[in-house]
Amino acid sequence: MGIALYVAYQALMANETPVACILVKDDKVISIGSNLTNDSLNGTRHAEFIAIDSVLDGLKDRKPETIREEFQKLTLYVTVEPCIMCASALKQLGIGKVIFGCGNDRFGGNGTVLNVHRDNIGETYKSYGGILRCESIQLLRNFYIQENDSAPIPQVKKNKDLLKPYPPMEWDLYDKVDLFDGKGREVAPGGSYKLIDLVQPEDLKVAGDVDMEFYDYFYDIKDGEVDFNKAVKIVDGKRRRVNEE
Amino acid sequence: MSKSGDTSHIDFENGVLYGKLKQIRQQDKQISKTKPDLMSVWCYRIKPQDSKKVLAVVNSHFSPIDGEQLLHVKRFQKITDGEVKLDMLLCLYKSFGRDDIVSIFHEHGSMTIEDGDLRVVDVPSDSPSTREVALAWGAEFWPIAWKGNPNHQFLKKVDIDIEEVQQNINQLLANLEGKALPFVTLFDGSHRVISHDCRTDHPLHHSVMRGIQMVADQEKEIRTTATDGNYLLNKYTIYTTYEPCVMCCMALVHSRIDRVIYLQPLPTGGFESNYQLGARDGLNWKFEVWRWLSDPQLPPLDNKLNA
Ligand SMILES: [Zn+2]
Ligand SMILES: [Zn+2]
Repeated sequence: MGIALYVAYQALMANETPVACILVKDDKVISIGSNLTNDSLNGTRHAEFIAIDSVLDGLKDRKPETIREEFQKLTLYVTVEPCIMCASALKQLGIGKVIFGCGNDRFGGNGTVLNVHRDNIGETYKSYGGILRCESIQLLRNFYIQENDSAPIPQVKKNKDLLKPYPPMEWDLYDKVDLFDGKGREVAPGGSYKLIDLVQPEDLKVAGDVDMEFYDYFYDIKDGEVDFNKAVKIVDGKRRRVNEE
Repeated sequence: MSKSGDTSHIDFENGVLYGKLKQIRQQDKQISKTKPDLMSVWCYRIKPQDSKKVLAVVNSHFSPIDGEQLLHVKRFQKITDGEVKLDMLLCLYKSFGRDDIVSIFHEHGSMTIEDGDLRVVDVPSDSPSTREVALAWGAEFWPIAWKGNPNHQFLKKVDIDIEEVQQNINQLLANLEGKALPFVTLFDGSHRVISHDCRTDHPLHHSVMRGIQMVADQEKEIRTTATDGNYLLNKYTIYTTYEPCVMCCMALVHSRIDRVIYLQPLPTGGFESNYQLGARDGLNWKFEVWRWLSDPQLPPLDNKLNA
């Protein structure tokens, strides 16, 4: 998930919604995707589709059974719960398993709005959420701060959005797993940590050159809570747009 | 709107236009007198003489964000508890925080909101279907601005040229010839695109998904700036042979389509067969969905197939 988070960070730097994913087979990252809806003008180019397309590009044999067999072996790690569209796409492909970061309040198809992963259309798949959830939310908030800057109606929301409390995950919406702590619910690491403790620069190399600034965008976690004492970076969307022109 | 106010083409009871287009939507769950779905709204208790000033702030700062979501409820409710006061709805709870509201009124209305005067109330999130229910909800939750059965109002307002629909469907069906799978979609908007199913190349390349990509490619050629921002399928109607799958239906939500017309339902579909994704509460975009009722002679399909 740390790698997916780093790919989402790269998307943020490219002015796209910071949502990203990786597909993993036998502990190896076989493809990477991040949201491309702005650049493509196509609102369906979600991270999941980019990663799926790259797996399919690498498959010579495109028989439906072969594709299904391949996807059964894959685990998707995605920073935000798949939307209803992606949840259905993953189902139609026969994905092995989905692990996501934060819930998707508006469109979530793996528990928040609908339970596409285990509805009675086609075969079900397993899906668990909450991994590096606060970090996933921090990237999104960072993105929406710049959105507000260019909104036609000036909003009162400012950088303090980053400092908003992180609401507890509504665990009852999602399928539960004891995979990580053996006791049940909070599958994100508890206690205290810095992101770099969990995801080392070495791990990020699969996603390209490692930009150490990545770590400056996240608060530390102290006793299971977000510790706002650290000064974190904020994307300067306006300045970056000017630079690009 | 039908030009002369003539409504002879509308079957209000069944939601059918010209005997050929059946409206696909959630059943009138609200018609029953059971509890309505509720939404949280900020409510400000004011003195009657302040109502103009407050309304001005609401119109300039809150309503543009909330859009049409509060039009079915009355803005004010009179409270006679000793002196007369007004309870006034400001905006959706999710649109603004308490601090935001306090500072907006401070800055733009020179008003200081006392803590106890600003609270959150639950109001029905939709208009009911009958006047009696509107009155009952008004008494229990919040007064409703009753304007008649909302779906009847809607059906009267639908602006659809049935001849044009028939022609487009003829063109759609003409494109079925020689295809292995009978899935084809016609996009009718600022670009006109006909897309076929290509799942033998890519299992997710359903005709709707491919069509969206084709429209995006054409649009990309003419848009000069990336920020030139309408949603892709704004003002588009699509015609498609079978009820699209859940993935394709949600892709249409993301692209903000205006109208969908299909010929045959499918058990895997995301409109009438599952979820009603064209008009689902909680999603941020709703659109018209219709099924064409004339017999188009489409082949029967495997129940598990996704269109
Ligand atoms: Zn998605
Ligand atoms: Zn489909």
